[in-house]
Amino acid sequence: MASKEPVVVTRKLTKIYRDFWGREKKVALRALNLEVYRGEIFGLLGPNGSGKTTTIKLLLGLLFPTDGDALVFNMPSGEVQKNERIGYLPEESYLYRFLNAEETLDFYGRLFNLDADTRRERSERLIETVGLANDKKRVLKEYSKGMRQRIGLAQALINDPELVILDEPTSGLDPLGTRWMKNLIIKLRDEGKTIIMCSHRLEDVQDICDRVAILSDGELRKLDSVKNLLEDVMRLELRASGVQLNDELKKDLEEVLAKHGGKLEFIGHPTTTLEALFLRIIEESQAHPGRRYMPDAAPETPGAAPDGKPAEPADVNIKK
Amino acid sequence: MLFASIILERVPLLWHNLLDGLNTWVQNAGAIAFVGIVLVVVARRLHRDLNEFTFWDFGDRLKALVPVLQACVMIAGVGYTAMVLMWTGSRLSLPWVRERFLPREHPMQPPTIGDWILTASGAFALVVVLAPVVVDLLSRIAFGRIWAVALLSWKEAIRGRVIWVFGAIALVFLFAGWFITYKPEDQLRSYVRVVYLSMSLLCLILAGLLGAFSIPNDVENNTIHTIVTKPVEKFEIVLGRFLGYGALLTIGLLVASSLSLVYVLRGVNEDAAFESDKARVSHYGMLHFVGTKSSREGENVGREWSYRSYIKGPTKQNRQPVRQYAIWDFYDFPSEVKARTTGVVFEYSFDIFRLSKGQEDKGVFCSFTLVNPKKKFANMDPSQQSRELDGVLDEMRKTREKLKSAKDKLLEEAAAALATNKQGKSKEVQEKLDEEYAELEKKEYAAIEVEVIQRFQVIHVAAQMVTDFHTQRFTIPAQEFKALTSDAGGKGPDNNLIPAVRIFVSADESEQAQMVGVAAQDLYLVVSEQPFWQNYYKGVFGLWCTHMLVLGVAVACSTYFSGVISLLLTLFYYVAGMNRQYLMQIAEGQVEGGGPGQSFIRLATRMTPSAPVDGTPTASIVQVMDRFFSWWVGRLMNLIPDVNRHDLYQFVANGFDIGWSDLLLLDNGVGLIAYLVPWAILAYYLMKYREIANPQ
Ligand SMILES: Nc1ncnc2c1ncn2[C@@H]1O[C@H](COP(=O)(O)OP(=O)(O)OP(=O)(O)O)[C@@H](O)[C@H]1O
Ligand SMILES: [Mg+2]
Repeated sequence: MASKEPVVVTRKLTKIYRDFWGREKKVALRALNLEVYRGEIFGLLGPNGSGKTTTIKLLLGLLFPTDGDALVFNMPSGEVQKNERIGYLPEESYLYRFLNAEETLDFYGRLFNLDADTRRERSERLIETVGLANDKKRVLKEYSKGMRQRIGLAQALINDPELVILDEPTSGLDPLGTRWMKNLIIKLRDEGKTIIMCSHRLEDVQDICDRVAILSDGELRKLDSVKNLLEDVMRLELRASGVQLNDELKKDLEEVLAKHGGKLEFIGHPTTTLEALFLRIIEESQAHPGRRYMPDAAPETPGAAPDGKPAEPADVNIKK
Repeated sequence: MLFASIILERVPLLWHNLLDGLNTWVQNAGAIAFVGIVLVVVARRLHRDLNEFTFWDFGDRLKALVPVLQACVMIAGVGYTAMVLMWTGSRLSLPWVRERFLPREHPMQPPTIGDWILTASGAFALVVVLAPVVVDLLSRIAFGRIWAVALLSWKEAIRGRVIWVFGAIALVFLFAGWFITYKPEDQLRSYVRVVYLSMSLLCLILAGLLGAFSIPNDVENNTIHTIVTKPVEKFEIVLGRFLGYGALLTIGLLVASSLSLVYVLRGVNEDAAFESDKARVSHYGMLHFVGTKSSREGENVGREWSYRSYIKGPTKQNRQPVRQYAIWDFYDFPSEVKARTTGVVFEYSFDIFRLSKGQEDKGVFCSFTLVNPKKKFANMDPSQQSRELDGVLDEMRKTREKLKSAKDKLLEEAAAALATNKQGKSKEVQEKLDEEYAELEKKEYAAIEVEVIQRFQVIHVAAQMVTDFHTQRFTIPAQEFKALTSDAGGKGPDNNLIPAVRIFVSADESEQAQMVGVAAQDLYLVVSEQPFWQNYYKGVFGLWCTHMLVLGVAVACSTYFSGVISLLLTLFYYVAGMNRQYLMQIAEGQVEGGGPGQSFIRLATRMTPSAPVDGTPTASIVQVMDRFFSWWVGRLMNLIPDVNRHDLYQFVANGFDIGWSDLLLLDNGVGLIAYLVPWAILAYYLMKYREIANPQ
């Protein structure tokens, strides 16, 4: 479904936080190469402090890259004009607490130079969509966390953006709200919008993302379609029952596998969720720091990137 | 009776000085801009994160502009380098450099070549700094978005209830004025003082607080993230904040001042009404000098930043070869003055500077000689005229005597007739006849004066007492003024404008040496009186200017600093601005003492401060550096606002009309803009190249 037209491209994107005197505080992102294509839902995954929010802020021009570039719609991220086509939901809802829902949307609508009729029409529709119709006259400081998240999303959609960037969209939402949010995101994708989201909730990512990038400690560890990630053709899964897991069994299996040129990676109880994969990758990255995941083709020639072609084994290349 | 006095301790900007003012502005702002450019260039070398920062970031649209701007930087650099070389040259005893190429030391002197180089370099540096701002303003800045931010600021201030608290305090302040005691004639004056003081204080705090905390709050609460990820130019946020709070303050000030006008005028007693319930309109002349070193300025009495210059009065012991005169030229008079049938009033207020101690509060006598320079002088040159003047005055006196003795015969006859007439009449009739005689005598003598004036085209007002900083006046009878000006002005043979009236002012001979300090605004003709309320609102405009200044500085600081620091900085600038004159004197004193370099040499070699540091090449170089330093101190002084410029309360309180065009529009309005524009440019860059999500 991804039509291969890149909406977001980063090349060697690096961010080092420094203090006032230029001394290094933290390398938050290291030489990130990414491409996000039109019409897909792209997930950024990673533990706390792995650089997800930093990446998003770099894409939005809220931070300046230390090195490398971030291109959005082929414009440098510092370019203000790109914002015409972007909607952004921040990590926490950073809105003015003395405004009510209607005024909030009207204010952000004005920032897009929308005329009064469009503003009214859109804000009415969006308030309806996010389910705040009954509370639209209340000021935001009275809102609950989930309500603020909803008005934040409405605010991000006021300009009918082509690219929607969501920093933890489901945080603060109840299970029903989470389901609603996920459906909405899928609906946005079906309308042809591109979505970049980051999240901790792996099941959310698993449910809705087309592709995910896994970051750890500022480095890209994995980048593929969710489907590929979850069915790894280079690996074999063996399911057995009726035997006890012990060293002897393990040794026997290793011998058999060695005879066929394979290697036992893991023996244990089965998990097929993204969570497992996620944890394994993070553990691995801690065992071998500095080993970075590189997509094979350089993103300079976006059309030739092999990403998302599920049949290619070369796609999965955590080097041993 | 003592007249209301108005003390203007500075030269207001005048229209005919506008070009000069612009020149100075370009020099100052340009020099600071150039330093900014250099700093950025250096910082970019040192700090890779500043990659984003560029003065020529126009994208693809205006690529052609880039080499032009780079050339501008080069040219400005060459200009400033040349100036540094010249400073060096002047120190290495090349006097011709000093005369022609060093910038003038006093704004009254004519500009030198060095001045023009500085102006040109400054202009090029300004072009570089301004180009991105202007391109943005023209192509990207949208009023709709600025308006949105302004509205937001407005709502924030009102819903935050800041305004109401301030309103309540303001009311308390105003009514405190009720309990102030005053002399009857000072009633209006003290009301005006209370009202202006409370309005300015409250609004200043409000302006400072609102301005200093708005953007830092946005950064602190991260609300700015949601804004700058919209297609908003960051400068629009700055402008929106400024305009939003500006509008709020404007309305607040209008409401408060209108309420307090009612309060001020609710029952003015007669004395106070005579003193202050009016606005005298004054008509100014152009000041120049003869007998002093330069026609553009008088003697210097060591008050370097004093805007007055001085003329020396002769003493019995020490007669000067040439007498020093301050000369005011009035090129025209308003028609209402020409049509006047009562007297024509001139007011003056001079500063007195004594060279010897004692007798501090005794007045000095000055003479004012009004002259129509068109016909009676062989030469238009004022110094020649001043030399002719003595002779003319002598001749006048003789002529007057002659005419008088002729008249006296006539009067004697009339007196004799009167005596016979009075005989046997009732007491009332006798008194009436006496009165008629007195009238006749007065008329005849007046006629003599008119005739003398017609003949000599001179009016001499001798020995007027001048007291320090008191406004005093002399009145010229209308016929005499008409006699002087009936054929005046126009163009001379060399096609130059001839002043309609030229007033020579000199200090009379006295026991002790003394000097009289004068400035262009110190002598003026009182044209008419305008209503008080109009002047009151003009004064409020001055207050408004101060508020905009404070708000502007606060907002500009807050684009980089935190709220508290911005507020402190604003406060600092404001307080420094109130003491600007004093700070300039200190700066000047510092430079006269030899600057930091020379002081250091003296310290190091244990020389006394008075011993000249000279001779060695090191000393020369140090002196050059000091010279450079002093020039920079002069430039940096201009960052301090001239807040007294906007303090028009004296005019209102003392009943002097605030001139629309000079004082209000030019000195206040244009003055405010000239001060705020560099701050706006600074705010533009600070905001644009600020990493919003990474506050330092
Ligand atoms: N302004 C800053 N100054 C210094 N370090 C920072 C700054 N902002 C973020 N960091 C550091 O950069 C790293 C990445 O932070 P980032 O916010 O991108 O993480 P994240 O992946 O979004 O985490 P989370 O899941 O907790 O939101 C962290 O170690 C953080 O401490
Ligand atoms: Mg985050």
